[in-house]
This record gives sequence, C-alpha cells and structure tokens, in this order.
Amino acid sequence: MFTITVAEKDRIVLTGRLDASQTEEAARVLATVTMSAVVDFKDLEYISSAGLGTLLAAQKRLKEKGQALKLVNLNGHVRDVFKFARFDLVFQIE
Amino acid sequence: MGSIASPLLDVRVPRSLSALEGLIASVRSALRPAKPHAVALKNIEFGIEEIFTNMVKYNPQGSPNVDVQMVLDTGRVRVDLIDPDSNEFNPWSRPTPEITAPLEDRRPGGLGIHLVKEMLTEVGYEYDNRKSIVTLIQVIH
Repeated sequence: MFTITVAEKDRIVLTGRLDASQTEEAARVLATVTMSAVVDFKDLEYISSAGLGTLLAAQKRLKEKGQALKLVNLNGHVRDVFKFARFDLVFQIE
Repeated sequence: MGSIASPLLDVRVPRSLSALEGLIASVRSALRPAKPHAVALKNIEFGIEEIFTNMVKYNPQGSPNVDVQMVLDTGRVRVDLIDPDSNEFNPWSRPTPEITAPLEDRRPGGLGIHLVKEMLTEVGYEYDNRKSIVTLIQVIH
C-alpha cells in the first residue's frame, strides 16, 4: 500500500511502500509540484531504487526552475537507502 | 558434518510488477518464524525487489514466470531468484554508478544493483543453459 498526498501546497506526505509498482502514481503527483516543497517521509516504511529515481527526476525538474524538494522525517531503512545512494548530496534532508 | 538448510519459500511468480506486493508478503510471512532483525528483513526485501524488478523490466519476452527460493542456513538466509529463460547477464559485474556526481549528472541506471551489493551480506550469479540464478545472502541477526 502506498499513498502520496499533497497535504498543503508546499507539503507532500508519503505513506507505506514506494516500490517499483508504485512509481507511476508518485511521478504523476510529483509532476504537479511546481514550487519548492517539503516531502514528509514519516510514514514511509520502504523505498526502492525505482522510488529514488522518481524523486531524482522531480528534483532535477524543479532545480532547473530554481526550486527544490526538501525531505524530512526519514527513518530506518529509508534513511539507510538514501545514505548508500548518497542522496544527501542532491537533496536537503532533515 | 555440514549444516542443514531449512527451506522457507519456493514459489513461482508471474513476470509482472503487479506480482511484487504478493511476493514481498510471502517473503515476510516465510521469514517471520526466524525472527530476523528489522534491518536484515528490509535488506532481503530490498534485494528481492530490485532483482525481480530487473527480471521483469529487462527480459519481458522471457518465460511467463520466475522462481523464488529461500532457505535458512546457520543464521543466514539465502534467496535464489531464478529466471529460466534469459540471456547471460551478471548484474554484479556492472560498473558502480556515479553516486557522488552532481544532480544534473545523476542517472538512476545501476543504482539499485549498487545498493543491493552494499546492503546484503553476499551476492552471487550463475548461468547455465539459458537459466540465470541470482543469489542474495543475508545474515539475519
């Protein structure tokens, strides 16, 4: 089960498992984001490389416009995956 | 005397991303009695998903199913993902992606394989007569 919700215009909330079968939905919602935003990972329990790729594509698109995603509340496995992928170099992570 | 491996899972899975959720649920259920550490469990899930996804994405013309077998042997879980009809491709021989590159130069290709190699205890690959076996090994405690 995965959900992605634009809770406010600059806050996106992810829950559940962002795996390869869910990236289409994640990409669809992230494509609607045109300004800098916070992505809340508090209730995201799992992310795969396909999920990382979806976030990377969104960050590239936004950076070209001088905007960016900031990632907050990463925990456990998700934080490990970001660490091994060195995504701390391309995202602000709090 | 050698150790005795306990079979945990032996399933035939449709070659489709829609089968992923059910596969991961089966893996979790099969591992529950072994009480793996939470990090070990997530590593196993991660490895299986990355390899299974590659088998779906990069060999869509292959046989309709792939096989997933999992055994427990002296505190280590071994998972074999078996593609019975594939060209030879050793995922572990891919070059390491540029994970310290700036954003504009980042490419997602190869990242999943790199992460599996970093996170799992051991990985392996065998190929014979069009059958690929990708092996993942994880210490579970």
